Amino acid sequence: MAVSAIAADSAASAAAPSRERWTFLVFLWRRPRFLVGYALVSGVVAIGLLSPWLAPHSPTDAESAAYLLAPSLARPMGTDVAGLDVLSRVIAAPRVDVTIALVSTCLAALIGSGLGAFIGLWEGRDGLRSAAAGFGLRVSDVVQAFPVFALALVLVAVLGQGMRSIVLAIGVVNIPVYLRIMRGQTLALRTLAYVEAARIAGAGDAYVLARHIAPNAMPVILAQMAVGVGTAIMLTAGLSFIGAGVRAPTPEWGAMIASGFQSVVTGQWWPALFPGLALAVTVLGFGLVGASLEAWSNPRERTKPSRREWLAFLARVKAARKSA
Amino acid sequence: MNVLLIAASRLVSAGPQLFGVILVSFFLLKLIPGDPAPMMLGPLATTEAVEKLRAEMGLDQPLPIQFGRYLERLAHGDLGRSWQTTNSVTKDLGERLPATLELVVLGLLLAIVIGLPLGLAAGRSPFGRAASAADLYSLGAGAMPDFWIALMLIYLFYATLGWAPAPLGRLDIAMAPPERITGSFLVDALLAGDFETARSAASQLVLPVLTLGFVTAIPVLKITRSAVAQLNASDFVRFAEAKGLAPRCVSQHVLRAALPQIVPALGPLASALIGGTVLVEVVFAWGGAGQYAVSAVLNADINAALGFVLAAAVLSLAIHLLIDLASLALDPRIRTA
Repeated sequence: MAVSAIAADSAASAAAPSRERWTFLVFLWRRPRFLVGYALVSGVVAIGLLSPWLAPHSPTDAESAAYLLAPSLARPMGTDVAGLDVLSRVIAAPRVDVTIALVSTCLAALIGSGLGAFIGLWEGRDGLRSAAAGFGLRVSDVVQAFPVFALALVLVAVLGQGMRSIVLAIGVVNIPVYLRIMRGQTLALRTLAYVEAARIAGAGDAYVLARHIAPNAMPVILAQMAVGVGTAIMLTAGLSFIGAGVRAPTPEWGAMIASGFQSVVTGQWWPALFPGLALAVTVLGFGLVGASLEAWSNPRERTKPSRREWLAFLARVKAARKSA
Repeated sequence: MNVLLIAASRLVSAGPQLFGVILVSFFLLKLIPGDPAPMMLGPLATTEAVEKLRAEMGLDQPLPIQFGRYLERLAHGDLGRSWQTTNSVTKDLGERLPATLELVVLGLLLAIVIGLPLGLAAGRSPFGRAASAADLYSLGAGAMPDFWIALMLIYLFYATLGWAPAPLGRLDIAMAPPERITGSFLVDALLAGDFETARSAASQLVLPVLTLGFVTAIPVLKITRSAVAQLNASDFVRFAEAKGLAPRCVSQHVLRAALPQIVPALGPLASALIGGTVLVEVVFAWGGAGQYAVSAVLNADINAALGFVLAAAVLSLAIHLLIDLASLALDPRIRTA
């Protein structure tokens, strides 16, 4: 549909002829879907932070009398087989899930993009550096040859159960993702005229990386990080679901779904439904934030009209045709 | 000629790759704390008995020698023994891999049935209803963990409506598995002409396949959508549109032209699914290879875990070869090159 592609360009210029330099906020305002993502993420983080004051019951102390109570006014999400209040646990869980996801993603992004930048810079240079870059790439290939979940599981088994092991395992399996992205960005950026000019002026690797490559590659890395937080939450939940994650009474969505497993089969839906919903909402929020950053970092996407603007444009064209 | 060349180059590069995978997995799995010998003999075993068993299993040797011995046995086609099931790993995997493959193949097929048409429609009209639906689907379904979707399906179709059978394995408990030909209960029962067993096997398959298809459709959808969107601006599409061809007809042309881009992307997806069905297998007590590998890893059952890694690597190699051949058939540019 080449015609529509051309028309989309003109729609963009027709919709905003004067706004050549859109700020990020205006960009977001025109795409309310992305705003929803930011609202979800900040909501989940706020609830997690405030959970000790918001929770109606203790998230870790079971009341054996309150065994598998159905949702009611007093207990909006019911209780699970151990007599734990589901609502209190669901809102306490971001403290574990989001923390693990954020720390492991930052770890992976820092190490991965650092290595990727040097590999990108050194590829095709003199012997030793080129060899080091090639070796780094091979290692990352081998790591990526394993299924992500299986590798994370093995790493947790090696490191021993616990929060720190999960953070490390999820971090390590994600390093190659950032390594690949950063290497691609560096390879594309290092041939640009101003980077070569800096080189000729005598700039070293460190200067070029800090001054030219890092700032330009930042939006792409940030977009991947936002999406990565979502997948890290899923991975944490998956590990906990098969019993390789956090230890028993700790409130964590995956472990909660696992403890609600048998109840679901016998017809009590609430202990498994609510933690899954909370997890899905959180991952969705981070996914939308990632999508917004991705669109922002791509000039074509950034200036593309939103669906609503496009439909308004079509309506205008139709009206103009009619009057002509 | 070309076909043979491609197959040969795949096999040549496969050797070092397989060796690398075995090497890394062996030393990584050996790092898992836990000694199988005392676990096999139980808590009442004497120290001498444990030492004797360790010597028998070669566990008292340094790691490089253990690795050498493993390779030696592997060269004879012996994957060792799993201490959990006390069977040979080859036998265990032979029973469990078909169960996993059944899920992978059917799940992938369902994913293509959902993802391909939706991706095509979304890619053809970037601002249409299909595009909005595709956005919603990939964001929404992509945010839900597969094991949770599986549980919700069980609640709806088993616990509430009673349409689906109990999520307890591959066959109704009262039924005997059909005579083994391929290892897939559904196929074997059909081959044997036993339609009642086939029906039971099929009804057990419905929910896990729905779960996998629902989740795996997202990447299929994304790949198709971007491949189609790229073609939208090409000359032949403009020509077809200018000529006044019906949109349906143009879409068919676009799909055919996008296939050489879509099919290669299905290879990594299929290999990822072999390891990725684990959680769904656990929910449905499927007894597949993924579940076997997880319990092997959690119980320091090295031979079993290594066997699974090796089998998965060989399978993914076969898938890549298959995809290469399909690309050759689909893309005339590769054929003549």
